[in-house]
Amino acid sequence: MKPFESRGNLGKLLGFLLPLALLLWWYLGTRVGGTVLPSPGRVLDVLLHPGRELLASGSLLWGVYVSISRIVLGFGCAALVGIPAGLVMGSSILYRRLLSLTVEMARPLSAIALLPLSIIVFKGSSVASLLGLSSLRYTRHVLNELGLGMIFILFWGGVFPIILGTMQGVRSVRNLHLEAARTLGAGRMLTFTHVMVPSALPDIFHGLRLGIGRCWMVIIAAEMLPGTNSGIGYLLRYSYQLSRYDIMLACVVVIALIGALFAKGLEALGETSLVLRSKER
Amino acid sequence: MEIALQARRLRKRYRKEGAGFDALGPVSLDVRKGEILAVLGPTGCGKTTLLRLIAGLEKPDGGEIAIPPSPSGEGPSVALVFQQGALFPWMTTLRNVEFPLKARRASSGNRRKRAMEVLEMVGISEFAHSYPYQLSGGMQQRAALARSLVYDPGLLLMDEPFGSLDAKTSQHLQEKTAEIQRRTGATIVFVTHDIEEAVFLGHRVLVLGHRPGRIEREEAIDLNHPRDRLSEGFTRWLLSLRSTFERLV
Repeated sequence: MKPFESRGNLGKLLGFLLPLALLLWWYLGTRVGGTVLPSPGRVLDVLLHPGRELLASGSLLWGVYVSISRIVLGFGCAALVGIPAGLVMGSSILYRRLLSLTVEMARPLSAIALLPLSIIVFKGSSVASLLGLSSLRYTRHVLNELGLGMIFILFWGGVFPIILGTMQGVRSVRNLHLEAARTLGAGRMLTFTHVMVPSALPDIFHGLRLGIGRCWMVIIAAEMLPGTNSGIGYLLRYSYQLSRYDIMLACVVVIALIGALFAKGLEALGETSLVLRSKER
Repeated sequence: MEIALQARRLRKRYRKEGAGFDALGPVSLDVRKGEILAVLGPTGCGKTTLLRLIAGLEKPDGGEIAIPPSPSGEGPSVALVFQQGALFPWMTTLRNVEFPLKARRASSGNRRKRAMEVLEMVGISEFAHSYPYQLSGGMQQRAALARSLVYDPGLLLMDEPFGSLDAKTSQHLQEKTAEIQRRTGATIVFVTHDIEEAVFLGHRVLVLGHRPGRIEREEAIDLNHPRDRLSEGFTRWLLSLRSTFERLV
């Protein structure tokens, strides 16, 4: 007897059991009283009105918008640098020797640890000041919020998993496929673009997924540190300081959801290439 | 008689953790234009090594290989059909077959036309847009054969291409190979450990012995293609080669 597996759809819902129990526990706890936590209903109320101005520092939506913009820029830079670097390091011994020591030394250094340094180096400059848009200085505009120091540590957090994933992918190209390409008359360029890169694609996506997860953790932590006044991490800390735990918990929920969304999105993108490689005989 | 390949005193030695062993040779052989030369030998006799040397995937430790350039003026072109799994799993059958033409900078229209022609010839044109994992083992090897035939190589090397298939499929593909060879006049070196396969396909059969690989016996099979596996002549060759083969194993 396999009671849950046999009832196909019911079995799939099994994973929701624990979260629901937790939610119920929370709800009952707030009904009984004696807890500092707000009821699930109040948190839901914050979540359902994402455009509402909170604590005179922007809405939930604004916070999410700022944080995601930072991620897009920082993670984008990490991918833009990490993928080519991984490809080069994976396919050339010379470049691997040149770069791998640096990568290995830099990799364990946490991005958060670099935040003070990057604030000193980049001072207060943001994308807006970089573009010479000083007129935005005292307005609420997203370009103001894209601090270069923040972007740099996001880049730092995301780039290493991407480099290592890509390198791993290129190095695990099957020798049989390389030899086939060679006997079929393919030159270096065609072998690279049509054999090595597609073969490495599943690992590249794996690296990207790890990278964006790291970036998301880094950005929340960085926004919670003093010196920031925007982003979902900032809202989380500020609502905590003002004891607005309903807003604080809403932020936690949003952070969890967006993190999951990023990972799932990249997973779906990488799915096709993964399917093709795993079904290879 | 025109020569498609001439190998003289080929030797190959492998080194494994300091200790070396002679995998091949010295071996000398000629491949004649338009023939199927079956190279028959037990496992580990260096027959795959021989093909890899000819294909240029490895360098010999001694001896030389001469492949005369094709009459069209291009350099020598050699194709190798691997044992299995050498199709690119991220490309459809058609794109796999087009790949060598892409390497030769053929226009995309010509590529498609020629690739479809060859897929038609090996009998899997209806799977042109399938990925390798969607094909059976036999279909995959047909696609691999098509990918090698598509650029009309001066010399086609086949390394136990049907060895991993079931007997029925394997026989069918042997017939297909013989038929394609008759139609195109391709020159083929076909490596196998299956005596029947060698007798069915080979205009000539070389029997290799091992450690180090060397030529034990060379025979011209005097049977007309297409060959009948049940004929008396066929059986006689089978028995005769088996007696040599048994002695080797």
